[in-house]
Amino acid sequence: MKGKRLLGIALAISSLSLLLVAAATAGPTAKRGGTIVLDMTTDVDYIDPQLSYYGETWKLEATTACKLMNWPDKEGAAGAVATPEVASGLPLVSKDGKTYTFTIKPGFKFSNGKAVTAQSFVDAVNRFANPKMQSTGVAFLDIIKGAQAAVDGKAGSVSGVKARGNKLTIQLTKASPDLLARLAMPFYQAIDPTLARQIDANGINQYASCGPYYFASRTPGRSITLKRNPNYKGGRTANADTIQVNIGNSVDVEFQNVEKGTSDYASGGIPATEWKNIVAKYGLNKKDGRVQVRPQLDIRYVAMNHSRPLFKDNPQLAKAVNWAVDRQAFSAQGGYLYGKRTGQILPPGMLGYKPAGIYPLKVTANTIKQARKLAEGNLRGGKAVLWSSNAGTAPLQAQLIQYNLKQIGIDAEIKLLPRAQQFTNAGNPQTASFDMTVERWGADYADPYDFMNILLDGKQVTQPQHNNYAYFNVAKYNKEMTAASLLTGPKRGVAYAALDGNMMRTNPPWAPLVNSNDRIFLSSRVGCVTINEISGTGPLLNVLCLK
Amino acid sequence: MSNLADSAEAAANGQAVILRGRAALPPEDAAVDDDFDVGAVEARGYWEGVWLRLRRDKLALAGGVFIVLLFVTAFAGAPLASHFLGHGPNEPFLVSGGLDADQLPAGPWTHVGKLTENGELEQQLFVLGSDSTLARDEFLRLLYGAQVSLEVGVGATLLSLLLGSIAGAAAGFYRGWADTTISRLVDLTMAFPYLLFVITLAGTLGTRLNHVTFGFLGEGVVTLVLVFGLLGWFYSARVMRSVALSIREKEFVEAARMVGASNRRIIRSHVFPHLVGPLIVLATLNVAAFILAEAGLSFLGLGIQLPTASWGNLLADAPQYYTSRPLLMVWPGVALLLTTLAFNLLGDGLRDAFDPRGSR
Amino acid sequence: MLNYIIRRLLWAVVLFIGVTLITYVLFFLLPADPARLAAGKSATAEDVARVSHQLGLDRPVHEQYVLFLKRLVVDHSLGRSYANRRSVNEMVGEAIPVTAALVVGGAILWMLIALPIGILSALKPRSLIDRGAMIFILIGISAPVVWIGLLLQYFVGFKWGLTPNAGYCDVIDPPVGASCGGPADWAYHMILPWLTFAILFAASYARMIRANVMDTLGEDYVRTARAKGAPENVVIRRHVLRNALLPVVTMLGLDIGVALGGAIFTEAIFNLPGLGRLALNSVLNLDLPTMQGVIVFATLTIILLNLVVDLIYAWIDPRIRLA
Repeated sequence: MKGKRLLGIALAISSLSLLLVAAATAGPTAKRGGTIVLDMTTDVDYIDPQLSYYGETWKLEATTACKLMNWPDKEGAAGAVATPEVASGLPLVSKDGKTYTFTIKPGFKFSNGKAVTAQSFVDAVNRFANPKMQSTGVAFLDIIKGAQAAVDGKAGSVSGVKARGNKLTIQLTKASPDLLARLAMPFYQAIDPTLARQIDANGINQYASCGPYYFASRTPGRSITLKRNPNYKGGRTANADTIQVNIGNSVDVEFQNVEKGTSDYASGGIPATEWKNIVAKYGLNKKDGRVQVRPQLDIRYVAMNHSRPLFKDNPQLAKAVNWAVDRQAFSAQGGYLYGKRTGQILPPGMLGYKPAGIYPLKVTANTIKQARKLAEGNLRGGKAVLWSSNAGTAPLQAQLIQYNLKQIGIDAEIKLLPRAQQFTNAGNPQTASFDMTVERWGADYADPYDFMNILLDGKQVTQPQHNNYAYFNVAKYNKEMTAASLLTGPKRGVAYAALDGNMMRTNPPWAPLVNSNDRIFLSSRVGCVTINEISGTGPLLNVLCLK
Repeated sequence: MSNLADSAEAAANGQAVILRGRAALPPEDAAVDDDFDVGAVEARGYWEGVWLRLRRDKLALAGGVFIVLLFVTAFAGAPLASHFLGHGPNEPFLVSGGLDADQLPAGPWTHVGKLTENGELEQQLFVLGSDSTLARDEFLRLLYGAQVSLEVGVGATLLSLLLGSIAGAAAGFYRGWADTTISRLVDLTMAFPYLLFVITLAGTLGTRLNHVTFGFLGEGVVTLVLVFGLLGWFYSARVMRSVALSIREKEFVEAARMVGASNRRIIRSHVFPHLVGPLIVLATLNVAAFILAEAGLSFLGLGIQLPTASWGNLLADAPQYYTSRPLLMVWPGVALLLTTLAFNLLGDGLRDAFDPRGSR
Repeated sequence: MLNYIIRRLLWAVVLFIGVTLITYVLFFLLPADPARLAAGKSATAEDVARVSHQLGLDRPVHEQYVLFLKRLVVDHSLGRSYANRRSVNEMVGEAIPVTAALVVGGAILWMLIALPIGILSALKPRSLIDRGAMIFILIGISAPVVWIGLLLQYFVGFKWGLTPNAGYCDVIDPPVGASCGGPADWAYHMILPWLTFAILFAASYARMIRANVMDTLGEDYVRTARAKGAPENVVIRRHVLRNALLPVVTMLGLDIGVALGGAIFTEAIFNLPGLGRLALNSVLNLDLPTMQGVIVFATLTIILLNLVVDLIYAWIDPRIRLA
């Protein structure tokens, strides 16, 4: 009797504990499935991994790519450290810091079943450097040995990357502290042998990927569809079955869609005046809440084209523009929680950020007077072409800048373009027929190189496609930028801060306006909201689930 | 289209009055109008008849009065209002009342502050509130937008009518190779997908022409006038051609010819007076159509250039404020509706006045 | 009749050449270098020169035009887009069903609205129906299409949630992962676009039908039929309607060609991936081949439709073919 009772109790306890364990581990599996729908106002530039350099595409590629190093699917500080993904661990680094050796973890497969090998990464670098691809991102190859020769067409492949079995060796031209961060950019993701052979500067629209999802289809201008990668065995979550991106709806339609639940995320934004309302209605930054706002390493600015007569060797006018622009009003156009005004190149939170108080953050009668004084005699005809995106708040912001410019005597004509068209044309010397363009830049990783050198190093301005929209090419600063990129530790920050201050004080390439926040509006259908601004804006799409 | 041609033709005849349709005459007036018979056309009597008939059409008169008021408001009222209110239509009032506490555009009848030279704030009034988050005066933008709409409407009408009536009348009167050529040209222009061509031309030629303002026109007006005019002339050409054709056969023309009058004299003294009627009707209806077309193009971003206000681009910015300032959608839409309505009513009334027998 | 057909066909060909020629020439007025745009991301002058030669842009304009025609007629190709290198044929082919759905569906809707309104108000002049019809007509032809579309989208689509507010669903073969597809979804999403598109035409057709019916009612043969004692509905059906509606039918054929362009606004507001939106985007992106392609295609359609309408009309009315 006693024995039986004891047995009964033991059984009860063990089944209870089994149930508890089951309940504890049942969480993730219960939320799988369904289709998540995103709205974008305009089409992406490309979905080709070696070409795409646009935030909206990168949030999609964050789900499809598998990389040597990646950003963990976590919020905050935990998500901001480049962590080995396909690499089995941190690389072995040679003493001079110029050779990195990675070991490839087995088990990663492309959506077409092929295995990910060290060669997959070599292929990616070679395709990236291939001059026929004309990728905008080639500036990020500069530290890899042999990359420049490949980009210049002098070599058929990049000599500095080699694959031997499951070992990948990368040789650098100089020791570079941000290599691991760079490797986490989608340019460096593993590509399958088929894509490796497809060289087309217009971009490939269908290819196999090795991340939790793959691009199932793309209809340019209309839609992009991602589906769960059936062969993915890495550790990242893949909750939804399908991620559907609909392109072309205006911001007010996007707002209506997310509000009603026909879409889950307004990736293209919502009307600026709605933010206050929805924060009041749904609360701010609640767990799995519908409205999420995060600061990001980003800058909105007006790039002044230094290759055209108006701003060429005309620092006084550039300073005048910085005095004239109404940063407060620009921010107001964006609505509630748009961001913080700034007069610096680097954003707060970035190493090297040092507000120098050079330009006013608020327009008064005195600031206008000062602006006019600086502009006087330097107007050179006073006619300018101002480019801007045509979606959402951008036309209003452009008219605001136009008004500010009018105050100092510049008659600016506004040209509105679809966003991808705007920066593609601006970054191509052949089509860059603007004097000023209202731009936005979000950091790819948390290092000033990604801001300063990528955007302002003069050696890019002759490339067929680049990011130096100011066409800023001052030998002194080019040298200082290169020198700063070699430093490590606090010295790096000091050098970049000095560069920032000096440029803005003596010969501003831009009029920096606002460091904007990432504002996210989600439908009531979704949960598992995790946001990693380094990985991309918006919620992590592979983690986002239907409630 | 056929209705218009026929009624224009009939109007040219100055036929006896048998009214049908909307406004039927009481018997006594019918007797009065019998004095205007076929045959020799007395210019004075003809016009008097037209005016009498028009006067009876209350709706058309209302339309006409509205149009006159619109012109006055747009070209005199707008600068006056701007002067009295103390600011222009493109000035933002961002920091001093143009945006309310929630950073939304201010509502109607808001007082805003203008920054003067010595840094003080001078109180001014926004009658209809702000137009957008740029806090410009919606009321003034509506008024100046009226200017743009009328400039484009009237300008394009003048151009298309000028080209069209000369071509059409010449074709109809002279016949022969002139007729064949011009008719073929009309066919050619009609084969173009009108709106597609308009947006293509406006988008491409626009970059060259948008700066041309002659000092007083809005940016983009010249582009639209040219594009609408050059692509729209065929419509009036066809109408004028059939009018000229029918007049040509009239007895008085034959009579004049027998007497030995030259073609030029015949055209001047006999044909032209009968063209004027249909021309006026066409003009009024075309203005309405071009105003709507301009609004559509500006909505697409291809018409009037920012920051110049036009009813079309006011309409383009308004949907963003659906939930917060829904009235912003109402003002430009209603303005467009009333203006087009007025022109259509006037045009219909004129058509009935010139051709009281209906479309025959 | 055969004579007429041949003459008409020849003229259609001439028209086509004329329009394509003018279109082609006009693009050279653009402030953009076609070779540079086609070379796209090509930096060097040699690249631009190479592309220029490849596309034949270094030859005189008339030679280029002949090449363009040849490619069009022989290869049936409209070229490749500068923006994304896709074949323009393909892009136009994808867009046609959407615009066709909008225009044809809209045409059916506007006739369904215009016929009863026009006929009834003509048969009962100055009645309440007539007055109501006149108000509808006046507002319909005066209200901006864009405004109506936006209002419908906001109230019917969003506020009252009765229909979707934007977007297009493929009737057959929806792309992988599309959020909607099939005839029911397709029709549901097209309700507001059809309504927006149809209102203007419904109003003007109602007016035309009303005027035509009223005129026909006054004709001698109608009076005769009535005098002979025919019942009213026979008079209406056999004599009045048939004669009143014939011109309307021909107008319909012509207007559908015109309507291709008018669909632009509706497509922009409701995000329908049709020809209008394709044209609009190609203008914004200065994508010459696509612009040309859409215009050439639309012109072909208009010319063909006009041809068909003229031939039908000539067959019905002998006076025309003998002119």
